[in-house]
Formats: sequence, C-alpha cells, structure tokens
Amino acid sequence: MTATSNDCAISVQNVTKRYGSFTAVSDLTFEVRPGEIFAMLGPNGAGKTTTLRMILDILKPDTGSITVFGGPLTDAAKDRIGYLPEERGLYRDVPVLDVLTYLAQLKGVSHAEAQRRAIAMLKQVGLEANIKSKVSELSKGMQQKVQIIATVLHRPDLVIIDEPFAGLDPVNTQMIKDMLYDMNREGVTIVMSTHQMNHVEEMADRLLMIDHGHRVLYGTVQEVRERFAENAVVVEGTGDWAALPGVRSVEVSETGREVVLHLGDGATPNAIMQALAANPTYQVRRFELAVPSLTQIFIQVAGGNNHGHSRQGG
Amino acid sequence: MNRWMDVFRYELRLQFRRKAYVFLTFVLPVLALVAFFGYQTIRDLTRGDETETIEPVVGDAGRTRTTVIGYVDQTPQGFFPPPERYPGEPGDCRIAPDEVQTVNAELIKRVSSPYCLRESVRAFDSFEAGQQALKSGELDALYIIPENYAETGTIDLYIPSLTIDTSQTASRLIEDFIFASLLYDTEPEVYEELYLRLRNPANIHAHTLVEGAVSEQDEDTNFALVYAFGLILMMSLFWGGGYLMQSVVQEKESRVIEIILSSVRPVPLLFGKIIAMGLAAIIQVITLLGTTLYLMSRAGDTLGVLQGFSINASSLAIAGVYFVLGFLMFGSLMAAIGALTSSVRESQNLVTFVTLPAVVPFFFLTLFAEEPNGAVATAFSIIPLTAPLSMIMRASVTTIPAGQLALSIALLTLTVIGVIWLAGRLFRVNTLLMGKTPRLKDIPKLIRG
Repeated sequence: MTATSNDCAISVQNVTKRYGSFTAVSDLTFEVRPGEIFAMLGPNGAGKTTTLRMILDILKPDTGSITVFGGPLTDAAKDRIGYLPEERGLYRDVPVLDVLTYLAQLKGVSHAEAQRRAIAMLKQVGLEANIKSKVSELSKGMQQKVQIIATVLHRPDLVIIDEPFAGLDPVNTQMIKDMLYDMNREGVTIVMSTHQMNHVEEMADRLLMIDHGHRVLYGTVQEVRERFAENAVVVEGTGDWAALPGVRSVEVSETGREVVLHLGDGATPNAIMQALAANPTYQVRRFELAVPSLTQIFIQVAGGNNHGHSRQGG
Repeated sequence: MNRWMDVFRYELRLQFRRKAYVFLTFVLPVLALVAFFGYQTIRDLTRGDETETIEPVVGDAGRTRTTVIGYVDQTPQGFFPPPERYPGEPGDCRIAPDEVQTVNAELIKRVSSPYCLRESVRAFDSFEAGQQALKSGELDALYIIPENYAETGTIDLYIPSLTIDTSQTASRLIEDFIFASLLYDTEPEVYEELYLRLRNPANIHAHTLVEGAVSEQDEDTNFALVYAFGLILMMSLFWGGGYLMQSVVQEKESRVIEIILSSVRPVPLLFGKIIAMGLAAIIQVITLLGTTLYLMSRAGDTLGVLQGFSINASSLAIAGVYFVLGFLMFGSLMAAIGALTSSVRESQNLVTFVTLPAVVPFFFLTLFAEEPNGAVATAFSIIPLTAPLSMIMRASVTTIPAGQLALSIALLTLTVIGVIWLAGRLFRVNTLLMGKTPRLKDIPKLIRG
C-alpha cells in the first residue's frame, strides 16, 4: 500500500532532471517512510546523487515534485536533515571543534550547545584528544568520524548519507553501522545511497535501485531477495556433488574452494542439507543459500533495460 | 537569508585567526608605534643628558665639523662681530637649532647664538688674510660682506673649486651666522619667531584653480599621502578580496561546499562572506591608515618633515565610500572567480585579470601627487575599475569637484550592482559543485543558468 505524501519522510513524484541533452533522472517516483532505513542502489552515474541533491533542494527538478516531512523543503525542514555527500570534506586548516560547531550552527543549533554536543560526541568516538587539532592533522579514519559527527550533531530527524561506507576500514564501518542503528532505533529515518549490496541486505528495510535515471527495482529487501534469489546453495567441502538427488548442475567457483549447486524443480535447500548429513562420504565445511550479488541482480534487472520490471515493486 | 549571520561570524572569526591578518592589522601598527615612541624617548633621554652636561665640547652638534668658512665684514656698522666675541657656554651648543622647536625660546636663542658657530665660522680683518687662509686650505669658503650689504644684501663668495656639497653647507653656515648675528639683540620670543622663519622663509605651496575649488598641499607631503592612502587601501581591498576568493575556492577544493549548501543557500553564503571579509578589511584599513596618519602628524613635529599635512573629514568620507564600493566590486569579482575555479592556484592566476587594471593608477603616482585634478587622474577616477584607488588618492590631496564625484560614484555603483548580479549568477549550485574550472565559452551559459 502506498502511503500518502503527508505520511512520508520523503516523497518523490515523477521527477525528471536533465543537464542539457543528458537526462540524469527520468520520471522517478518513490517514497521513504518515517523511521525506516532506506537504501538507494545503482551503479556510478545512475542518478543517485542527483536525486539526493534534489531532495535536499541543492538542485531543482525540471519536472515533478518532491516533499520532505510532508511539505516543500523549507529552511526549518533543512535543519531537521543531516546530509553527508559522497564527495565530502571539511575545512582543513580549522580546528575540529570549530568546524563541528559551525556546521551545527548552520543547522540552527546555538554556538554553546553545538560546542557542548561536539565535545561529547568526539569523546564518544575516541577523538577527545583531537578536539583542538586541525582537520588536516587527522588520519583519514578520524576525519570520517568527524564527518559523521557533523552530519548528526544537530540531532536530525532524517539522515541522508551518500556512500556511507566508502573507504572505511572494517572497524570504522561497524562503528558507522552502530551509530546509524542507534539513531534509527530512536526514530531517525535513514536514507543511504550505496552500491554495496551486502550492507543493504544487512541494514535496509526497503530499497530503490535506479539505472540511467530510471527506477528499476523498488520494494522491501525481503521482496527483492525472494524475487531474485536463485534456487541454489553454496557448499564448501568434498564429495560427488552431482550425484546428490535434486541437483541440476554444479558450478565450481573460480577459486575452486566452493561449488554452487543449482537445484532442479521441486528440490529445496533443506532436502539437500538432509541428504548431505545422511551420507558420510560427503565432508561439508560450509553450507549456505546462494544469494545473488549486487552485480548479478543488477545484470538480471537492468542489464536488459528491463525498466518495466521495477514498476511491479513497491 | 537567515544563515548569513552564522556565515559572517564564522568567516570573521577565521579571519581574526589568520596570522598574516593579525600581524598586518594589529601587530604591525603596534610595532610602528613602539618603534616611533621608543626612538622619541631615547632621543629625549639622550638630549636631556647632554643639556645637563657642562663639560666643554669640541665642535658643535648638528653641524658639519669638516666645513669651515671665513668672512670679512666690510660693513661700516660692523654688523657681524666674530663668533667668539658673543657670550655663551660650550654646553649650549650641543643641540642643533632644528632639534629644539618644541623647547622654549630662550634655549633656541642660546643654541643658535653666533657663539655656537665659532668653530665653523672665522672672521678675517681683510680680504687678503681670508684669501690666504682659503688658499692654505684652512677654509672651505670665504664670504665678503660688502659695505653696502644693508642696502643690497649681496655677499661675495670665494671658493677654491666648485663642489656642491661644500657650497651648500657653507651657504647654510653663513646664512645661520647672518640670521643669528642680525637678530642677536632682539628679545628671545621675537628671536625664536624670526630666526626660525628666516631659516625656512618660504614653503612653496602649489595652488591649482579648478571650478572654484582651491587645493593646496606641499608636493612632498602630497606624494607621501597619496602613496600611503593608495597603498593601504588597495592592499586591504586585495587582501580582503583575496581571502574571500580563497575561502570560496577552499570550500570547493576541500569538498565541504556540498555540506554547506545543504544548510545555506548560495546567496546568503556569498553575502555572509562578503560582509565578513569587508568588515575585516575595514578594520585593517582603520588600524593601518590611522597609525600611518597619526605617525605622519607626529613625525611632522618630531622629524621636521611632512609639516602642515592634514586630512579633512570630507576626504576621509570619500575614502570610506570608495573603499566600501571598491570592496563590493573587487570582492564580488573575486568571489565569482572563486566560484568558477577549482583550486587556489588556478584562482590566483585568474585574479590577475582583476587586480592588474585596478592598480594601473599606481603607475601614475607622480601625476596624482603633482596634478591631482589633471586629465589623467580625473579619467582614472571616473573609470569604475580604477576609480576606487584613483579617487581615494586624489581625495587625500585635493578637493574633488562635485560633478566628477557624482559621475564617478554613479558609474561605480552601477558597476557594483552589475558585478554583484554576475557573482550571484555564478555563485550557484551548478558552478559551485563543478569539479573542474569551466571553459571560457561555458561561462555565459553558467551566467544565464
């Protein structure tokens, strides 16, 4: 069921944006519901960043309409949004505390309150020793933490992050995830644009995939998985895989360590697992459902310019 | 527009943290004042010690010891007795008369007494005796004061060979001796007045009649004023504008601009920056120009130079108006350049196209000092790009005709409006978010939007 635009954190209706003769976004429609984690997917140049910039009123759509918090994006509504663009940076020769304070002030937080919150958050992420350091003196990981703090310091109701995990090491990736989860638990709506499917599957409630400015996939993560998951399992171990009942074909991975067992009609992963357990000639170290990678799904959905398919979603 | 104030406060704070700005705006004037008053204090202390010294001295302070002149007084009245016949103490002669203008009249009379010239000026009874001394090298010059001196004022000079240095020093010595001798019998107050006036009898003032307005300033003082006004204001304009441009380019280069634009619209962002940098530049002008004018006025008393210089309120008002208009014009142009370019280096290359025409009046500095209402100075002060510097330089030394002023301000104001519009058109999201500098042919498209 489609929510009305008044119930939505973001409502994008039939939006088109052109740069000269190039159409960056074409007749795009989607909604983001309050309190959800929403993922925007697509390859580079798909129109994700343009869409986010239009939501934030940095760019104006040529046609169509966008509402945020049930209305047009006023300055007051802007103050309720935290935005971290893909190409992000900070003032390099300015102390961390000053940068954070200034950016929060631009969101309507008082100077004193912004400083208090910034110090508390810097302590929270282990940067208390760097409060007075210039941004240029920080490591890349530290700078990313500061950028995230800058995005959420004014306690927004909606956080929009373009490629939140780009360039992050596993520790920082987890830290950002935890921070996003915490905010989401407190009711903050999160929109993230990414091309890393694993993060989407792990975190997002719903997703939108766009390609060449068109919507090609839209719905809950569960729906997408059900729609595109192949009837296959990934197995690592030894044994005559082709001899198993229900296995239609066996595909050996490039590394040779694992195989994908494509199942025939009527065969289920459960039945295969039981067959393996019952037969001691099979040694199994790993067994899991074959989930298509982003690339696989994308090729399947967008490779054939099958835009009509997406409109079934949502 | 509700966020421009935050931008303004932040940019101003940032500017006040820049070492170069703080040094130039606050430290340099303080250093100049400390150096000036330090010099004055040390000199006063030294002078105080010397006046208290009662030891006899050899030679007179402030006068050339190497030049010795002789004279033969042929006047029937005997106007010029030998210096050593005048009463006096050797300690009186340690200070040169030029250095005691602010002290009392009696002291001036004492230190400028013919007695103090006794080592440099020697009396001879006859021309032959003097000629002998000149030939033997005891004298650098010999003056014959003829009988009819009182009527004609003519004095004959004999020198072994023509040397400018010696003849100038010798002339000064004989003039000093003649003033001091002729005035010796007057009261100290009259002596002070006449002696000082006669030593510097005529400061030539140039008068130019332009549409009924009369300007008058000493040319040397003019030059110093024109230079000081022009240099300080131009420097502040370009520094302020340069920082404005740098601030825009750095936001693009560091990629913080998109975060900023998600909170502030481009025009309030530009507005906050221009006002902040403009205020910082005005503060800089006030401290630098204030210190310069103050020191120039004090130097007039202390060093005997730049005397009689004054700046009237209308000149300062004109300077203020042109500074503000000039800043808006150059600041907006530089902000537009900042919006177009993608790196600080690139912007610095482009900014030459703005700064070079603007400083052209400096190449004609002498003309501005000598003929502030001449054709060249007037033309430069009407053309908008050169008007701020030209008019400020002219206003510091002359009265600007009202018609010229009105025309120049009107043209400049129109240009400022146009340039702000242009900067506003370029200071937009498409340009600010561009990763590279657009080609020249793309700029009209960006302006059109």
